[in-house]
Amino acid sequence: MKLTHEEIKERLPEYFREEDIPEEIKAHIDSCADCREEFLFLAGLREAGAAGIHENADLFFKTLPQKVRISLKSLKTRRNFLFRFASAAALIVIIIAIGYFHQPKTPEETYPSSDPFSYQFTDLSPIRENDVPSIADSFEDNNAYFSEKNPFEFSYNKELVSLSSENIKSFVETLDSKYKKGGVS
Amino acid sequence: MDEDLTLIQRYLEGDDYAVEELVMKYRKKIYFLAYRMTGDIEASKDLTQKTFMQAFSGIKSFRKESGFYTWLYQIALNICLNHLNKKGLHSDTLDENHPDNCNSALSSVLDKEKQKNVQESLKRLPERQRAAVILRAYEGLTSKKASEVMKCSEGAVKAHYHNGIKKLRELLKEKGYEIDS
Repeated sequence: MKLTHEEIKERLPEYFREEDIPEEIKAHIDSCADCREEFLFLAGLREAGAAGIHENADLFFKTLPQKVRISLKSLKTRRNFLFRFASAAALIVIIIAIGYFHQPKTPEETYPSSDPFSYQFTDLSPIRENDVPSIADSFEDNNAYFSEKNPFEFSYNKELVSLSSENIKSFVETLDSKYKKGGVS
Repeated sequence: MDEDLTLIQRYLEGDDYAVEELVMKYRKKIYFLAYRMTGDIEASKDLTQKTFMQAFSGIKSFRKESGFYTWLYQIALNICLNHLNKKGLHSDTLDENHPDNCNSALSSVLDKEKQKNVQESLKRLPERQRAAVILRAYEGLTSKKASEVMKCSEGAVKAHYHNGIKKLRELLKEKGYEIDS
């Protein structure tokens, strides 16, 4: 492959020693003043630039590999610690967030759909303003049941008193179990 | 190249000593690059160490598309340019009082003088031209490799290199110093 003058000149910086130069390029350098001058200039530049650079740097060169290794190791340790610390902090934040957004529910919240008397299933739309006095009246009737003047005449107490202890116990147990399941159906 | 990848793999698998081998292999090249860019021996040592630290702490971002040394040069060059920009050291002169630049041995006075002239002239080149000259003339990188390191086109590297060499010749001539004579 025949190289042009420009191609050879372009390659000159890649050769540091004469013995490394391929024959074709060497022959061109011998015959071309421009390339010869360029090659000598580069060689002179390198020679001049290299003087004294090594001085007082021997210790630096000797210790650099160990210094880099040790520094990298401590950097790695520091990074690992930071990573673990950040992971632990993130975990704590997640646990707190879960605790905050998922608090234990009250029985009413736990079984809202199973409670037929829950407000969710109560249709309040038929109630009008005129219905309110009648509700108030029924409150008054209820109060009569708890009247101190006539405690047994019209009261639930009277009914309860009339029940046997076994019936009362069973009644309470039924109420308890129904309540726990979300209300009396 | 394969050797570099093997060492990188060993490091990624937890063998910290693989780092030492890679540092040993490239420490001088990176140091020279830093020195030629900054002209400051102490800064070059710091920048060399910084280059290796940055390279290995971010080794997972090395995509193996280019060679490890190209990637390392890229990092080193960026670190050097940042250092120069931060310090405003674009056209500083050499630290003449530094022991490395003051050799008492008579035999090396001329070499020192040469080095000083070259380094001073090099530092007067614009950063991109300086980088192209260093990568091509001193490191022997091809235009293609240099373009990967400098993250620009091959044509741009060629232009920077030729303009840089031309200007370097002029600067050295101004100092009455014919380097190829």
